[in-house]
Parts: sequence; C-alpha cells; structure tokens
Amino acid sequence: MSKNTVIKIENVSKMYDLGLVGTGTLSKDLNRTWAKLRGKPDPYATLAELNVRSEKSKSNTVWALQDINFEVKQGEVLGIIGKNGAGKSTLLKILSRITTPTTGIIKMKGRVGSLLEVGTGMHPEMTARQNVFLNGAIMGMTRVEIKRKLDEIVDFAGIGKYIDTPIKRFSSGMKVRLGFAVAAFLEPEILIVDEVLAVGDAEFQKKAIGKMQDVSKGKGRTVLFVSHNMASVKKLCSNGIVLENGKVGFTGEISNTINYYISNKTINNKFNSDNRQVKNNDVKITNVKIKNSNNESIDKILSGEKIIIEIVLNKAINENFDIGFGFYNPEEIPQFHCSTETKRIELNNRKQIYQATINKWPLATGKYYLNIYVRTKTTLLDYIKEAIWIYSEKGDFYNTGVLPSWSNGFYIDYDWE
Amino acid sequence: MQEKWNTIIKPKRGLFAIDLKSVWQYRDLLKMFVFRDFVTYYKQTILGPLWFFIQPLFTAAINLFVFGGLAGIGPAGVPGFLFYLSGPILWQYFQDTFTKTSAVFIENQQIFGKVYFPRLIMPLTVLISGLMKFAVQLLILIAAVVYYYFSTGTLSLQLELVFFPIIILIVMILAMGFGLIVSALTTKYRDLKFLIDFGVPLLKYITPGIATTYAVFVNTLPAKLVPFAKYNPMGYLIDSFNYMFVGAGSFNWASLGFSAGIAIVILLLGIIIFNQTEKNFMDTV
Repeated sequence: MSKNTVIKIENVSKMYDLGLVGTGTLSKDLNRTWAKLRGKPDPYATLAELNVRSEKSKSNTVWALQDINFEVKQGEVLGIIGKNGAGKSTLLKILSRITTPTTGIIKMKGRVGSLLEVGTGMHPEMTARQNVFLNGAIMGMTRVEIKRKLDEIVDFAGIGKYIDTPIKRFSSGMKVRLGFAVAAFLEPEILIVDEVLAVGDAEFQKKAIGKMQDVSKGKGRTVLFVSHNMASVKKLCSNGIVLENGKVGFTGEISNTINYYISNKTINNKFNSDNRQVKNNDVKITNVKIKNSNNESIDKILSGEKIIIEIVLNKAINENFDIGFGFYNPEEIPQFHCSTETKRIELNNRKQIYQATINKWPLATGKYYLNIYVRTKTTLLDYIKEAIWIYSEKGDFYNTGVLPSWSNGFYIDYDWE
Repeated sequence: MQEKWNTIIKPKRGLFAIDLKSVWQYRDLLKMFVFRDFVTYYKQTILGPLWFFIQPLFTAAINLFVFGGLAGIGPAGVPGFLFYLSGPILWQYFQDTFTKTSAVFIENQQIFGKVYFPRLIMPLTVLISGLMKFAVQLLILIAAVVYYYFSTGTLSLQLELVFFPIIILIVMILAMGFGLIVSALTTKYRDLKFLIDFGVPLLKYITPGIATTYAVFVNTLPAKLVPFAKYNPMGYLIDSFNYMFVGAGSFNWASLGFSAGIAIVILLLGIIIFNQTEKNFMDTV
C-alpha cells in the first residue's frame, strides 16, 4: 500500500524586502498599491535576486525561497538541511503559519504542531503546573488533553516536586526540559521541529531524540526536522532535502542527502571568518595558515607530513591566554584537538603570530576543517568555525616507501617484535 | 481522487475569510491568557490588588477638584464624587482596551514569531482581562452609591440600570474595533503607537460625561466644536452609564443605537484589517 501524501508544497516562493523595514515603506507601499490598481505585478518582485549571501545585493528585495516543490508522505521523517541563510527558517515559518508565502500553495493533512522554540509564552511568575497548561494551550492542546497528560509531562521533564514553584526559580535547563516535555506530548499528526534540541544537556537530548523517534516510528506521524547537526539528522530522518540559496538542491534518502550536502559544501582553503562566533571583541584572529616544513602555505597535506598551523592575531594580548584548534571531518565529527592549555604552555609573550607544529599528520584521505579559538581563563576572545579547510591524502606515513593500506581513519606509529 | 486537505497555506486570503471556528477551538488558550493576566497583574507589587481601587478613587478626587471645584462645571443635584467616579471607570476600560489592543502585534511578536494560533485570541484576551478589572472597579462604584444612600438618604441608581450590560457591550465592541484597526497599522508605522499612547488619554477631555454631563458639555462648547461632542460615540455611552448609576446624564435609545451602529461598523472594519495583517506582519514588525 502506498502511503498517503500529507504535505504538498507547490511552487512556494517568499520575497523579502532588505534593509531597514520602516524607512521608505510608505512610498513603496503606495507604489505597490498603484501597480496593483493598474493590474501590474509588484514592481519590486522583478528586481528581487536569489539569496546569495556572499554577494553584495544590487536590489532591495530578495527571494528567500524560490519555487520550492516537494511532498512528504505519512510517517516520513524529513530532514531539512542547508547552510545558514539557505532558507530553512523561512520555510519553517511558512509551514508553521507564522508568515505566508509570496506565491505558491501548501496543503497539509492532519493536525500540525510546530516546535520552533520550546516553552513559548511561558511566564516566569507562574508555577510549572500553570505554565504547562499555558504552553500546552498555546500549542493547540485543550485543557482536558493537558490534564490527562500532566503526570506524564511532569515525569518526562523530571521536575516532580517543583510542580508548584514559579518557573523564575528554575534553572535554564529545567525550563527547557519543561518546555520540551509539553511539546513531546503534543501528539500532532505532523510535527515541525527546528533545532530546539540543540539546547539542554546531553542526557536530555538523547531522551528528546528518542521521544521523537517513538513519535514517528510508533505512531506513524510525520516529522519535519531542521538541523545543522548531521549526526542527529542521520539518526532521526529517513529522507532529506537540501536547500541552497532558497532553492531545493537535492531530495532523497537521508544518507544520499547528507553526502550531497557535504560534497557540495563550499570549501575555503584560505582563511575565512564568515563563521566567527564572537562578535565585537577587539581581539580577533585575523589569519590562519597551514604550512609545510618549508614554511610555504599549502592546501593539501600528505599523511605523515610535518605541518605548521600559523595563527595571526590583530593585536598582542597583555594577559595569559590560550589558543586551541580542532580538526573536524565534513560530517562535523571531531578528529583531534590541539591547545596550549593541554600542553600547559602559558602564552603571554605579546606576540601576534603563533605557530603550532604537528610532526606527523595523522589523518587519512579526505577533507577536514579547523575550528579555532583564543581565550583567557575567563572569557572567550574569539572563536571561528570552519576557519580553513585542508585536503588530506594518503602519504608515506611510516617512511618506508610503502603507503598505508587503509585510506580511511587515521594512522599511528607502532612497533613489531 | 478528491483529496482532503485540512490546512491550506496560500499567499492571499479572502477579505471575509475570518476563521472564527479556529478561534472557538482555541478557547482554552483564551482562558489561559486571561488567567495569566489575572495572576501576574499584581505580582511584584506591594499594594497588590489594591491598585485596582486606588486608581479610580484618586482619579475621582482629582476630577472633582479640577472640574467640580476649579472649573465649576460639575453636575448639579448629585454627589460630585460619585459622578467623577463612574464616568472615568468606563472611560478607563475603553482606553485600556483601545491602547492595549493597538499594541497587540508589537507586544506579542515574540510569541507570534514562534507559534501559530488564531491571532484574534490576543485582542480578545485584552478585552476580557480588562473586563475583569472593570468589574472589580464597578464594585467600588456600587459601594460608593450605597455609602451615599446611607449618608444622604437618596438612592442615585435609576431604573434603566437593567440595560447597563448593553452599554458595556457597545463599549467593548467600539474599543476593540478601534484597537484592531490601529494594531494593523502600528506593525509598519511605529509612530502610531506614540500617537495612541498620548492621544487616546487626551480624547477623554472632549468626550461628554467625563468633565460634566452631555447636556452641560454641549452648551459650554463653542458652536463650531459641538459636532465633535455629538458624533462622539463614547459620549452617549458614558452619559447613559452616568445616568444609570449616578442620576446625572441622559438615556435614550436613539443615541445608543447611533453608538452601537458606529461600533459595529468599526469592529467589522477592524476584524477585516486585522485578519489581513496577521498573515504577514512578522515580515514587517
């Protein structure tokens, strides 16, 4: 029996005005109304461009989504992945009826529950019990439904004896657990989830992911899941869709989708600070280079080679601080980490350039990227994700003229007797 | 095969496609919001629920001093304090509902940006939360009426009092209607919020029934300004309300009919505009 289509998205596009909303909107509105009265299309729509963030835009309007078409079958768990700004959030907002598309139509079957945030609308002055009722009602549950599930919700959140405490006394973790617990018992036919799982402690995340799996597998519910975390997408989803600059780049079985996403990821073999996580700090990492033993910048490493990671700061730091970096594979799985604190090296020598030497590059064939941070004991001064990518190839790791037999994983030194 | 879709999301919405059915489905949410307003209203205050009482009593005292004392335009033959208690209570409910409803999108963008529910629930929450506060203040008015009955021997209540729920209903419709219209505009033009915040409280000075009765008010005004008093729907409502409770004012069905007519038109207009705004306001707010 072929399964029912429960979500049908047809030619959905969404246009946004750029810049300061509010300035000049009156004249724009009048222009639009005038065009509408004459039966002409929106004069700003034709100017709108595709949403490519790296390019400076020439017009004031942009297509956050353009001609999105796909269908979701009942019981499917669809992962929506894509870079920042690819249109994931816009799509979620449209699906959860926060805003409407500029063109196109979406049809859905069954009760839709969306979880763009946990604990929406909870009031700090109200008790946990009152907030469960409030939050549940906001998400569309009736009082009777919530009453029936109250014990389970409290149990799942693990806040048993604090049930009549105002939640302003709760730790942030407890609040998140409470919010998620309400959401977990929402039981809609279609569940739309944003990266809300990113919050909360590891144990709770496991519980939450488990709960979501139960929901989809056990009860045949449909789940749309948006995440940056490839590991949880892979674990949870059966199918996936990749958004690229507001268009559908790929749809298919989840591992194919992730492969597509990874292989099409833009790779910067020069330093790139687009993913800087610390804003507006006066100490900044201004360059990261990967060099060989001849002090030349390289974008390809052979395993077993000696390499130097060179980090340049915009200014010297006057107190003790640490630098660290980690290498990750394209699936965002950490490979190894080097830092000054683990080597008990104190940096306070007022230099701007620092070098870390890796005597034998251990990783096998593949692409890897580096996340890097600079911190003092108390504050994170700068942290850049995907600061630089490097391509690694199998090399003469053992210095024997024989290449290692495996191309995956990593290499280690060993002896035979 | 004909397929059944129960949620359809599309760019445009019919002018009258107002989903009252889903508002009804979310009635539990409305109850929870009202409950929230009620339990959190006087949290973190020292005097707590006493504020419900302090505000109208002080307003009455000041009005009595300014209008009755300084300006000398207070109504004749009835206790001034009662008069200046009753009008402002009703006005305050109108004003609160109007201004709070007009800020509904801005105040709730946090929630509106994260979850869907019929947006009309929020203005309804404002309306009903305000009604609770109004009901409490009405008790003070009744207590004051009883006090004057025992101290002066005259009962100021009129027989027409039985119709007073009609007055309240018209005030609710009018205030919500105005609020809805403005709420739609404030999502884009934030200036309006400032205009409303200081403008609406000023309106009470040109509304009959606050400073003095409708009849006196119209006689005192320069001839040119008389239409402002005559076509002010709130004027008749407050004047009737004053008449019912205090005995100073007037009551006639024609004026009430006029106010009710305006109120219904404004509310319909408000709902239509609100309904068109709610679908996309997150992009502009």
